Amino acid sequence: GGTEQLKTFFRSTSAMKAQFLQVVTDSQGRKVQQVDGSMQLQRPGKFRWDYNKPFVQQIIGDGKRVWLYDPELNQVTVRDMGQALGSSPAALLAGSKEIENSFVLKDEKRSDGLEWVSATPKQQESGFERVLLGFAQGQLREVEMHDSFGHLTRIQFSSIEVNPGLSAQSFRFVAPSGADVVGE
Amino acid sequence: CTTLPVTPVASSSAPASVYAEHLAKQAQLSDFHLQGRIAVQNGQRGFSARSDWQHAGVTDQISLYSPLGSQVAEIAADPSQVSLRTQDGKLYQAADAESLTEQTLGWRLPLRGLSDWVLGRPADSAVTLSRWDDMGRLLQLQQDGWDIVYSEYLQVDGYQLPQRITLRNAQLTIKLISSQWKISPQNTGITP
Repeated sequence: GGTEQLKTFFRSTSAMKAQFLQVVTDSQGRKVQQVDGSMQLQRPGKFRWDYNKPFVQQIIGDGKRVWLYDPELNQVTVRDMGQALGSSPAALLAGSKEIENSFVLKDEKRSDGLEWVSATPKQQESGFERVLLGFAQGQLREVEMHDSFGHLTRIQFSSIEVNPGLSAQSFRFVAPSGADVVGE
Repeated sequence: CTTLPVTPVASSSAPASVYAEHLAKQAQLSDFHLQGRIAVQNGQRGFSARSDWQHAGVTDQISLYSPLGSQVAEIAADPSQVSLRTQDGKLYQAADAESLTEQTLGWRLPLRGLSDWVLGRPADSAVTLSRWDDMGRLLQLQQDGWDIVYSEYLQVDGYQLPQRITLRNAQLTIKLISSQWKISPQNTGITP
């Protein structure tokens, strides 16, 4: 089931690269946002989410800190990895510590051909209620996040590469000159 | 606001009449739905988020989203009270947005003024400086202790609306980018 696939994912997928489509819907099911981009992750603790359209945004986890860069706003927000994304999806996927420590896992039945697992954060104020991960043939295909305001963020991956060679450079962030760098 | 503020300091290429004409048109605007992004910088601390602001009459509903998609905060304001709900489920309330955000986020959100400034027009209080371009659109406005710079405009249903605003006061820098406007002008019948 999903839990088994998630554990295999953590054991056998040390790196991943993919395109993604992110759609956020509100509690009435209305689409609130649609963004596409590309992501990379390298266990433990390194990840990069590049949002391309309709606006450019970069989120880079270098293992110690998480950098959020918005070029149009010309601002970089930096936070400690632990405190910032303790149990959020990006940290969950690039998990550097055992997933069972921070999430309660449960298989979830669906009829979309994916094997799903639901992960509920043990830490209450993580900012979202539940994350669901959908697998097929050991590949992570979809992530769903239910936040505490009733929104659903669905991320669908495509052109998935499992354990590709990734350059360390892509997980290093250098603030562009002139950008405002602020801590949270 | 329908009254035109007296502007003690004004230095612009176009005559004041062009500015007054533009303001008369902007005064027709009231309710709006603005989607965009906001960055706040308070010394070395700050954040940026996607924002969704519904302004209807005297009420405001502002939702802030993290880039990962999830909502991080929701501010609901009416003349009697302002409330802030955060992603960890906590609810904070105060008489006005300024004191509420100061208690919870450590900086004062000038919500009342913002609902005019974001439409490219001064709020009701005294204006210490205003500069406008040859179409009468505000380039810079100083009011309530804020220095507000308008760097881009876009055309929405026949109105010129700000696309990029930077607000600075002694403590804070707020940057606003609007990506989508929905406006419902009250047709007051006066033709500019």
